[in-house]
Amino acid sequence: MWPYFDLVTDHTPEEIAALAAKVKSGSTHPMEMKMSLAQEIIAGFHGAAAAEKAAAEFQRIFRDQRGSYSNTGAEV
Amino acid sequence: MSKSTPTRRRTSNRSTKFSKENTEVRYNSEWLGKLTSYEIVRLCAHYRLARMLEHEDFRSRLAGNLPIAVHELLYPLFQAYDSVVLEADVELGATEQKFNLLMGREIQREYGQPSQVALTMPILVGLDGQRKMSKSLGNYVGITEAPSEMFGKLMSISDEMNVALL
Repeated sequence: MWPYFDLVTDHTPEEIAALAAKVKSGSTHPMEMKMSLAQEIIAGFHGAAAAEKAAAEFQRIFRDQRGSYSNTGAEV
Repeated sequence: MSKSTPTRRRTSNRSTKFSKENTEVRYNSEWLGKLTSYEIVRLCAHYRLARMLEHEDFRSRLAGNLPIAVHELLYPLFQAYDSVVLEADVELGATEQKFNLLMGREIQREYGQPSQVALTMPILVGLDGQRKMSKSLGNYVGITEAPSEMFGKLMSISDEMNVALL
C-alpha cells in the first residue's frame, strides 16, 4: 500500500515513513492503515463525505461477515 | 492538458486536483479520425526510423528476432501529434512513457511549436501487487467508479505488496 500513499495521496515522503513506522511497530493495524488510505484516495475523487460513507459501509459489511463466521464457529 | 497561453499559469498549490470544473476531456479521435493520408505521410516524414528503433520495446524485439508490425511505429507518432493539436505545455505519463513524451517534444518542434515539458511519475502497481495498474490487465481502480466500489478494490491491495514494502 505504500506506493499508493506515495503516488496517489498528498502525503510527503516523511509523513509516509512515519505512517509505515506506526504499522511496523504494531501501533496501527495494517488493515486500519489501508482503510484510511482508501478513504483518503476516494475523498480526492468523490469528496470527504462520500469517502466516509464508503468506509462506514465497508466496516459494516466486514463486521457482519466476521460476525457470521464466528457464529458458525460457535455452532460447530 | 492546457493550451499554451502567452503567460504560463503558475499553480501555488502543492497539488492540483483535477475536477469537473477545471478539466476538459478531449478524445484524440476528434483529430486523428480526420487525418488525411497526406497529413499522415507528412507526420511520418518528421521522424527517423533509426530514432524510432531506439525505443526499448522495439530494440529488444529486433534483437530477439521478434516481429514488429509497421503500424506499431505509428502509435508514438500519433501520440506526439496529440501534443501538436492540443499545443500541450506539459504531458504527463509514467516512466515507461518517456520515449513517447520526448517524441512529442520533437514533433512539436517540427510543427513550429515550443516543446512541451515531459513529466514522468513512477509506475503505479496494480491491485495484484505485481504488474502495472492497467485497464487491460483488469487490476485497476477506475477514477470514475463509485466510492464503495473503489473502497472494496483498494482494500484488496495484495498483502504481498504490504509485506514487501514495509
